[in-house]
Amino acid sequence: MTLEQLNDYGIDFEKGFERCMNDEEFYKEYLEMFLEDDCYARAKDAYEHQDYQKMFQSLHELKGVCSNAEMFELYEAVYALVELLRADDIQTDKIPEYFDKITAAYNKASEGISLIR
Amino acid sequence: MTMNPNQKNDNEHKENYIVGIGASAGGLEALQKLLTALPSNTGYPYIVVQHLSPDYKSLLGEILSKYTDMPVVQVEDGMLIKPDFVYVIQPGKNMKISNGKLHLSSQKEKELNLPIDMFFRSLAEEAKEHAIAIILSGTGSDGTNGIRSIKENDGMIIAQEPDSAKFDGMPRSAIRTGLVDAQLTPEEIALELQHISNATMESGQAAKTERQVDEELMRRIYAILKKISNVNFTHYKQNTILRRIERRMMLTHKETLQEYVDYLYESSEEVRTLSREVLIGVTNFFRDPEFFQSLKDNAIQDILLRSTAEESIRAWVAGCSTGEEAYSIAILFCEVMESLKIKRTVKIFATDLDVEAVTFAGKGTYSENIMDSVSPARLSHYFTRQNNSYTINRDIRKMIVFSPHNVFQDPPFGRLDLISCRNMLIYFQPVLQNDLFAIFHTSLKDGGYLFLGKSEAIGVYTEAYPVVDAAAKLFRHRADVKIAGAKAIPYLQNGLMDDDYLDDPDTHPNRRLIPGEMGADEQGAIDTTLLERFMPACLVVDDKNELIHTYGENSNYVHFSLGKVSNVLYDVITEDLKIPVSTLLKEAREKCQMVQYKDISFTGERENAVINLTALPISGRRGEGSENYYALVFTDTKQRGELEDAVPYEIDRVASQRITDLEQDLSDVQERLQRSVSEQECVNEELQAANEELLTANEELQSSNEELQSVNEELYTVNTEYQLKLTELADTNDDIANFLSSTLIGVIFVDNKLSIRRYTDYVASEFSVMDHDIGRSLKFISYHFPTVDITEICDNVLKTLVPDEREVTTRKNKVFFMRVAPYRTTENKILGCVITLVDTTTQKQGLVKLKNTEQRLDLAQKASEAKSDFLSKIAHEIRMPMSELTDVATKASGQLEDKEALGRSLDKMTDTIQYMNSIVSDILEMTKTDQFSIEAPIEPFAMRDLIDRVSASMVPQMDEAGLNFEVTMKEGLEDNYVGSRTRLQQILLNFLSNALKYTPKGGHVILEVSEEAVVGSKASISFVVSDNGIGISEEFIPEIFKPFARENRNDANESTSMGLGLSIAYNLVKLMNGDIEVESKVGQGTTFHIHVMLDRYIHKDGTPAKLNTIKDLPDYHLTGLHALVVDDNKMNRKILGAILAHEGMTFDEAAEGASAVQTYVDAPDRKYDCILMDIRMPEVDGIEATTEIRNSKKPDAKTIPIIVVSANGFPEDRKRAKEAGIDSYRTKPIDKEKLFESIRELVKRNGKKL
Repeated sequence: MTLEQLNDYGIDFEKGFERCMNDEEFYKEYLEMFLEDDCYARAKDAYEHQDYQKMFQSLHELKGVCSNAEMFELYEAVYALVELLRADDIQTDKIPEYFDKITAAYNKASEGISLIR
Repeated sequence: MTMNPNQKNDNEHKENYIVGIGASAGGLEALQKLLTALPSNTGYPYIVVQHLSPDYKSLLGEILSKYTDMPVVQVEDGMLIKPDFVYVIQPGKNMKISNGKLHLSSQKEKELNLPIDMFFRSLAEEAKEHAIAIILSGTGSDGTNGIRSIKENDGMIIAQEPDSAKFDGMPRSAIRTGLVDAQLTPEEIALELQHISNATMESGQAAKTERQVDEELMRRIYAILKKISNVNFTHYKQNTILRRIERRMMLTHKETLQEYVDYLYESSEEVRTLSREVLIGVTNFFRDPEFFQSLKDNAIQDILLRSTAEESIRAWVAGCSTGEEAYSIAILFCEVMESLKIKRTVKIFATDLDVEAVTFAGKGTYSENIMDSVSPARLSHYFTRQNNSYTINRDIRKMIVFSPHNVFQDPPFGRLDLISCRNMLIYFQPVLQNDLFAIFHTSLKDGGYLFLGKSEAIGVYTEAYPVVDAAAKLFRHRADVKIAGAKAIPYLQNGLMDDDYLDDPDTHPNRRLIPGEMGADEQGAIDTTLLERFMPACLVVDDKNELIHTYGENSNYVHFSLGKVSNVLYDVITEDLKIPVSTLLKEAREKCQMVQYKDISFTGERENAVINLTALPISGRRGEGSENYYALVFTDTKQRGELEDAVPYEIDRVASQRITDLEQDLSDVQERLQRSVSEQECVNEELQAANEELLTANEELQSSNEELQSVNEELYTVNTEYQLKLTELADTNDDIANFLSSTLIGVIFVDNKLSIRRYTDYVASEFSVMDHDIGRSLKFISYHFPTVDITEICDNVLKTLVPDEREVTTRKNKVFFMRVAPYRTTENKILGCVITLVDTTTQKQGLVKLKNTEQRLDLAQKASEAKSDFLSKIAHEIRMPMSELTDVATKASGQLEDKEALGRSLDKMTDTIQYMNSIVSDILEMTKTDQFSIEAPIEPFAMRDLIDRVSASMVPQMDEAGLNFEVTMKEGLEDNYVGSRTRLQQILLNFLSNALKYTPKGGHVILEVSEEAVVGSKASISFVVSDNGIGISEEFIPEIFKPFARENRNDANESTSMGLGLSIAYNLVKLMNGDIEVESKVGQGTTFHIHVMLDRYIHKDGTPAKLNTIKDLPDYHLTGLHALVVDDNKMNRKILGAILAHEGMTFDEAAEGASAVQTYVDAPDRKYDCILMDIRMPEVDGIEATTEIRNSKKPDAKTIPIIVVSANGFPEDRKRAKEAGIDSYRTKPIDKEKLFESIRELVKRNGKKL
């Protein structure tokens, strides 16, 4: 798979590549780190334990990661839930729906990265 | 009905019509329409009276002149009127017309002025029947009283159709009087005027001729009128009626009487109109005051003096019209009673044919123009003023009973003390006049008074009505005088009498022309007449004992009580006959046959008599039997003798039975009555209370209404002005809108709650705002400026009222100048904010270019200066050996014989030349560094090979100098790198040579090579050259890389260095985007840290990953800076580090806040040039870490730049960050350019040279 095809997995290749000084080697190395990153796993764990404070922390971290990596689909999904959790009165009934979106985007991005390995 | 129609015009100018037009302030539009449609050759003068504000100059004339070809003139006092001119009243003036001239007078202040009324009255006087009064749109009721005068003088009145009027108050008020001839739209009025003009010119004479000849048509008109209005006008004066008919012909556009008659057949509405026209009357209070004075002195006083307290005084005002005469007489009665100090019950019956007039009269409310005819004393005594009208007092009102009444058809009133019948006879021909006098004869008491109009006479009845005051037309009645020739007026024979008139043989042939009208049988009529004359007195009654018909002389048997006339038998039959009649009828009905009583003696209405009484059943008129009638025949015993079948009337027997029945009935009735009366009283009281409340409320409403009317007028004027201003405002708005859209400035207006009020389209490119967002808060609008919170800025501006100006950048790198300023009204109120956006992207780019250019220019200038300096130093350097060479050569020339000396000189020359050669070599080398871009070959090389070469080159020299030379290659170094090997070799040789030169014998020189950091395919390589030589003074350290820099110290070996080596090496390092750090102390030695970026030689196939030339790198001059990167996420640290390293920076990492603080505190002072800090980290977050760093005791704790790199820009985080001492706030994703910019600025701020 070409790097350009990452776009189909919710990753803006052009922007990310540019941020990595157009260094293909580094870009790959950097993206592959995402597969090892545990933000999502921590967020999921917190979600399952309904620990919203922890979930917020982990998602916030994930938000930073996917924004730098230009994973736009995941970013949007994470952003929405972070905003939801930021509110004074959290609409907990919406969280499952939001988290499902994150999971979908996360799996998609991870798949894309595995393919360029 | 009071008017004199036979007045003649004296003046020439009065032959033509004069048109007066009344309108209020709101009538301008109607006036414009009227004049637009009006031809300019009607030959009439038009005088416009409009309500104008007295405070402003009137533009009415100017405005109207645009709509007509006629000259429009504002009236000056005494101005003579001319045909086909339009005259306009002056503001604040009243106007009258007399003798063809217009006269102005000032309006009274603080009073309601009614200029239209005033003008119409004078117009009526001036032009009589040639006056045309037009009432156009307007509020209030001005003009309504004026048209009464017009009508009285037979003028024409046209009112604007209320539905077409903007303000319908004046037209409606006029129409309510019933005096208006036509209701038309302004355009129709213009057409009507044109028509009148044409008609009077062409056919005036013809109409007169026709009037004389066509009696036939007149009869037909009478017949039609009779059918519709039930009034027979046959014996009314024809002239009067003709004048009205002509007026109607004009208005209905009928040219001949025949056409008009045809039209009457078609339109019953026109018949009603004509009938009303003929009947209509106008009168005044105390009309002909001297007449009334005579009435008061001679008649009323006498009546009162003769009266008794028990008996009520009765008077009849026949033809009372709108009631003024009846009230005048009532007032006179009151006045006389007061002067005589007696109190009598006075009942005045006021009647008229015209129902509307009677209704008006009943209200007793008159406009203030009655002031002309009623003295102030009477006004204050007998009237109550309410706003601008006068209402007759209740005491007077109670004296009068108003009712519609036809003197010839309805029963007259009886036992009257006074009849006033003024200006009615003039409408009648003598035949009717005679009938009237006969009616009055039966109505008046003996000694009662008859009061006639100014031009009326008693005719042939002087005997029955002897004169009391001939001048005042006051007569006294004598009941004993028989009126010969006068018809007995069968007023109860409703309908028959009128048929009698209409059955006149003259009119008969035309009756068939009116379908259904003339169906009565001629023979029947003759029979009826004969029966009425010669039959014994007979009353025909129906089942309900109601009178159906009477025959014969019955005046001794019946009487008619006062007030409302009843046709119930027992109400009219004389008292003594009630019992016999009821008994007889009862018996006859029971037996269904004729029953007769004889010898009934009784006291009749006139005399005592003995009669026989017969009750005869007769079948219904059409023989249907459904209604059984009984004829009650009164037969005078003396005349007719005994009746055969008659039963003697035994009063006792019959009466006792009858009395018992009646008493029983009576007690029932009395009981019921008592209950009804009690109930009625309760209801009455409630009604009275309610009535009083209503009266009060009404008064208040009336005054409010007046106020509202005047306010409305003012508002209309103001409205017109505002409309003009609105137009101007709309233009201005268009201008502003166009201006804003064409200048490409984005503007958003928000209110105090930050709701959007208005915006320009241009703004929509950066704000997601659409028309339906107007009214929504700015908080809900997204925009493309990720780094600023515009709502927060607006809040601040609203709080501080200080405009906020800043530069904002969109995600697409468009730069805007944004200004948020308070929105101030002209009253200096703050109603929100104005956000202005100006696209400065182009300017910004231009600025950057300019700055770069300036920098380049600066550099070029410095280079130029350096070159000059360099050249002068070269010259200086070369001059010394040159002069030395010259000296030696000169010396050698003198030593030609001394070979030894010559040899020494030649050796010296050789040394000098070699020295010069080395100088030239150095210069060449120096020059080459300027051409690095061409000559810096990038190639793969083995690091060990490079070091070996350098070391091989230096070891002999070191050994020779007695120095201990060590080379260390640290672990982690790759075997191969890609870069300029030769340059690296040159750099290292230069630094090592420098160490060699300045390290005394026995010292040591060390070269250490290590890989500091690896970022992707790049590696930061550190070469450390250290010695323990003489060192460099602190002052000289900044100078050491300058060409020819040599520190003048005693312990330095001057001769061996020209000061170019380090300069060359420095330039080469810079060319490779590297950096050099110097640590030195005098007497202790010097350490140079040389950092260069090299590509790692990774691929096994022997080609490097990327062959970036040095030139490709952007230049932020960050090389050599050392950063501390703090982020709890490894990936984030990785990318951040790579970005920094790519710019030549080196860095340390910390994965949490606490370790970051520890790393910073433990590091040597000023090791880090900046700290990049994440905010949200577990345990100690970025803010806390920053606070701890700032509070640490490190020398740069307060100043070290700390830059936040966070995943978001939550306002609360920003605020906390600022408070904690964060210098800059950057959000992820990392914008490299922005980050470098921040680092550069902050590092420079701390005095670091870049």
